[in-house]
Amino acid sequence: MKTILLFLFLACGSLAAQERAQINWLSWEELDSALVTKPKKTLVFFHADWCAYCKKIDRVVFTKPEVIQKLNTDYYAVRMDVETTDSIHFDGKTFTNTQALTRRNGVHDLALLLGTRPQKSFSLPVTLILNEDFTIEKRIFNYYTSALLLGFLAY
Amino acid sequence: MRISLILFFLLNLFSGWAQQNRSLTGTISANGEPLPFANVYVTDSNTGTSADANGFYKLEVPDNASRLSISAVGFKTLYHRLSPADFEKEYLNFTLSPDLLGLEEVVVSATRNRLSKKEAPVIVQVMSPKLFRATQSLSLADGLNYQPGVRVETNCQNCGFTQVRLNGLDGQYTQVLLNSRPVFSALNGVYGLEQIPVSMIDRVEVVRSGGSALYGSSAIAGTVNIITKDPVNNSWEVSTNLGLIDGTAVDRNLNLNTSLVSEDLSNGITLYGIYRNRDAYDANGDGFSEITELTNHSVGAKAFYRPNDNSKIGLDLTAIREYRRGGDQLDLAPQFTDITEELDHNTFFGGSDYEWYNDDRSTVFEGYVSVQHTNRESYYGGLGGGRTAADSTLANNAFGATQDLALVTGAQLTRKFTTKSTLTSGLEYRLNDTEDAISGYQRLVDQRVHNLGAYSQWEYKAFEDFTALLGARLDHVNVKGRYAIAQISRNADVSQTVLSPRLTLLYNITESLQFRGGYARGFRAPQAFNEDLHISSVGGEQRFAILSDDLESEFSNAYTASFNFDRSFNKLQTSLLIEGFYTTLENPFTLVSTGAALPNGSILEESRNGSGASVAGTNVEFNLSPGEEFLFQAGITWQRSVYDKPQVLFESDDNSLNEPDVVIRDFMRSPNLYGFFNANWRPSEAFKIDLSGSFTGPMLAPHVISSSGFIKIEKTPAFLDLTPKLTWHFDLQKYLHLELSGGVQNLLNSYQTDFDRGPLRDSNYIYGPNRPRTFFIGLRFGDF
Repeated sequence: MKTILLFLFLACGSLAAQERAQINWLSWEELDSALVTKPKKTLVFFHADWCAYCKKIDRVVFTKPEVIQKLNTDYYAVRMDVETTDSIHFDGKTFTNTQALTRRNGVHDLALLLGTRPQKSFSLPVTLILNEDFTIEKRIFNYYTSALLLGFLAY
Repeated sequence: MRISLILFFLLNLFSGWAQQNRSLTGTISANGEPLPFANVYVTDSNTGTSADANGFYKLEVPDNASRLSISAVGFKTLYHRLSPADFEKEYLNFTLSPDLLGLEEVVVSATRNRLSKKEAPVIVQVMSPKLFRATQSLSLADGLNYQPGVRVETNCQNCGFTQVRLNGLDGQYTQVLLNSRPVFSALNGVYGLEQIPVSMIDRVEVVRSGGSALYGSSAIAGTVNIITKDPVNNSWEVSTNLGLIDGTAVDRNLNLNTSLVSEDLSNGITLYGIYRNRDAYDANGDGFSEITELTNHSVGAKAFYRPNDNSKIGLDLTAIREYRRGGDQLDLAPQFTDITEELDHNTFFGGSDYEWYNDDRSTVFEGYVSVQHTNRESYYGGLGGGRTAADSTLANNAFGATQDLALVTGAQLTRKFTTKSTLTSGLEYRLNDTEDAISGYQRLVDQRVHNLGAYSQWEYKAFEDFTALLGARLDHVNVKGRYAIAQISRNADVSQTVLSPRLTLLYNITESLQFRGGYARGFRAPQAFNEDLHISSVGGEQRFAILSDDLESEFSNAYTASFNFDRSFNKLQTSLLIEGFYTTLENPFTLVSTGAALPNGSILEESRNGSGASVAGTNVEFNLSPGEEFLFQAGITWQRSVYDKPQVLFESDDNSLNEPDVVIRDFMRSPNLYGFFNANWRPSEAFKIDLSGSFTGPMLAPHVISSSGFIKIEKTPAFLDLTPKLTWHFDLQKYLHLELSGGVQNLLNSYQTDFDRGPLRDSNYIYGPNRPRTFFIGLRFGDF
């Protein structure tokens, strides 16, 4: 009896663990070395605390098993809070959050570099899909559903 | 190497916009540091570029360009007029300043289209749930005091009738809108402000003065637009509050809120439910309430559906069940008490709208229909201190029933011709049908008001720093009413067509200094408004209001002029608004007491065309934010409201030496000085301190001191209502938060001390802050 209970308990535990499967997010530094060891396509997701649509993507799109599986097998994934004040070392350079020195909600230099469009103020969410050689395949400047994202990732 | 590949890609992207002509180069900075990646472009065109990581930009400017705009998220947009000298300089540098006070927030009330607050020709004050929480406001009536030029006051001890006064004018001069629709009827105007729970509100937009033409010609003092929530994320929230009024009367509150939005954002719903139960409060121990007992249950839903990318259908439903009772011996049936005012409201608001827009949103069509229905059971009466058979018969017959229906339907088309010219036009039909009957008093208000309106407004940016808003509204109003009390009966049959023109100008004198000026014409057709539907008690008898015979329409002219200055000094940001207003009223509807004119000794007030009047004053608003963790706002209004000629307030029937006519020049209940402040300090992520206060200067209030209805004009003292509040925030999990709060409303216990006592009291003699010192604690948890 005890063994059955234990088994059930373990089974539930592993089910729960499966439920909690998530995207294997890398830091920029980890991405840097991963790209050297094994080039893969990359997804970069920029978000901030105040961005409601980023939260929606985070909660609804990035929790879908198909999305998690696709990203974890075929992509490196990096997420970045654009308001972070950490210095980021990537590609032999150091990026800092210059704006945060002088104001609140300052956007990090690296996010501005990758997410700025001509004639438009920096806005969120921003998602980048990059090729193996780290050239830009696509930049997405609005909200998307998981179906739409899988389409972008599948090309 | 990787980054250079990206830069190469981005540079290609940007250079696509370059048109060879004249070129400008320079650096964009903020607070002495280069600002990377700011955007520079030629105003009203597609020509532009972004600065690089060192704030350096290079822009090719076409010949016809005259102005540049420099923008970056979180910074105030800078406009620069190009001069030939600019092209001769080697570098043209710009400095941006941060936007901490939310000056570039988006509002809808100004022109009925979404517009940045700073570009709106009309000044719009936005109140967020943050402010409602900081001031521990449970209903809209509590929160509105914290805006310049706005004052909310309780007008009756028996029933808690509240009125919002904008720029010193009475409640009926303000139009209350729910999601921009005028479904708030005259009857809702009596108790409605206390019935709208703040937890369904996303924000409240207040426009003072009649600058915003499109909402109706009766918005003379201004509009209060209640905008409900429009969610993106799934969320839920439970909150509860407990208040102790003067340490004795308990006020209990429970709010539930949840939002569900589909993954593709094509549909969603917000549901909310409110329960409130407040004990009655007696300030002077005479057994008669100063604050009513109140129970409110409300539930509502707001849903939307987007069938495609170019349209949206919305549905709004709210049901309010509110019970309130004041007077004495609240546990007895009303007819056995000396005074009872008991109201049981069943109110339903329902609305649906359809919005269609083309791909670039240059054409927007909206169609809408909204309905409000109230079924009310009332008791305004009691034995009034007497115990005769006649008293008892009357008390047994003071039960009344009210039916109220408001319907609004309309269509609106907005067309943006160029970036400089936008035309908004629409048609709107409104109906308000009210029947309020108390057979025991032979009292009847049976009124039907139709209003067919057509409006058009043209927003024209004549030149770069100058925007004009020209509008007019044509209203055809039809009022049919029967009004009776005892043997007196009056009829209204009005059919009138009136044109109300409006004009507003905005001129940017410099980047930090704006001038706005406006003129608005308004009118109100003779009919029963909120105060006319309210019954109070004095001398143990009821006091009724009725329209006088041959009442004529009231007209008004409102003028405003304001200077708005906002500027940053390093990290400190300030803004200052100085606004002057001047409103003249022709034939204002004025309640004149005719004394104890009814057979049973009840006091009758008549709504008559009063002497012309004018209201003139100044609003000053100041905002200060030294950084993210601290915000201070304050506003003060200095004004005078006077009748042009002496106005009779009480008409004596025998003109005896003891009780002659009472004649006034100043408006009643209109202080010459009032204001508010609100300070938030957040020492850490987990802890927040709010301190807010509202100040009411001395004013004149009418006080009935004899059974004949004779009035003494009392001068009230000044009040300072201070509310400190502490809030602790805990993140239990990523998506689960807990907030604990506590504080004291009216810390200084600045409250009226000279209430009348006993069954003969004048129940309208109540003024100043809405409650004495009240301790409160609150708990809020959920995924919010």
